[in-house]
Amino acid sequence: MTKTAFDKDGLARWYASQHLKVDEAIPSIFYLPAGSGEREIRLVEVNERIGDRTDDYLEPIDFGIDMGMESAHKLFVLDVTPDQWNRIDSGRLSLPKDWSLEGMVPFRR
Amino acid sequence: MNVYQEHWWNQAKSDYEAFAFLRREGARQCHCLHYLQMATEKIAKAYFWRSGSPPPRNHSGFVQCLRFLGQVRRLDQERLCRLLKFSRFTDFENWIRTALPLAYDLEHLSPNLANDGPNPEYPWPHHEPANAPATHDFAIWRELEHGRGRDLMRVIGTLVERFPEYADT
Repeated sequence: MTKTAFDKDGLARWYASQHLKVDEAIPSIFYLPAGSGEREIRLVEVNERIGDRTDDYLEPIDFGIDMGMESAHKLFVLDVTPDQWNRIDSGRLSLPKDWSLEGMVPFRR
Repeated sequence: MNVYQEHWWNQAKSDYEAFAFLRREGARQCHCLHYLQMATEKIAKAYFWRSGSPPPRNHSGFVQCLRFLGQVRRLDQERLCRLLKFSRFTDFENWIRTALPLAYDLEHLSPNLANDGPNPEYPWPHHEPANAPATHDFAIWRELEHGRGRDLMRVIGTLVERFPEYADT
């Protein structure tokens, strides 16, 4: 099936702006394009209202979008606490497998 | 709706029915809140299964579900507005913004997210219990009984009972 041109970076920017606009608990979002699939968007969302977890196993939510349509893509959102983000940023906490901070694009409130 | 969604929806409906029954019968706040929190967690997981991939095993998700419903594609917006009784999609987006803090509070009732504080299942704090859920007056319960909270309850009821109508959005 031929698929339409997919503006992955533009869409990532749009999702990030929507989430920042709607949820005051999110001060910053990081778009991680490195290593992601052609139609896959990975966002790390720092959230001040999610509780500290007893474990540090980070699991993103997969929002399959427009499945079966030409615009089909995957949006993965990983919610982390500010403390978890600090540890990710300083290399003390691992991102999910195959995720990388290389070339990350920050979006802030 | 796929088969995975159907299983989670069935469980969410059952939890929600238990909540409605307990509230009707005047059960203690903790039991009502316990079932309400579980119903919201499960309807969120039912929604996430639309991708065909398992959602995280933790007890959160309802907030992300609401947030995500606020960004459905244009062609689904009218359907969602009709279902949830909002005149315009912008009204729904604004409503989400005001409802999220309460949705977070509801999510944080789950014992592993409650930071060793008020939760509907276990006495707290764990190492020196000073409160029992059965005798606690939950601030969130009072909020859910008024204005903004009642409206959130209305939306939760619709999201659970009419899930097939938006499961694919």
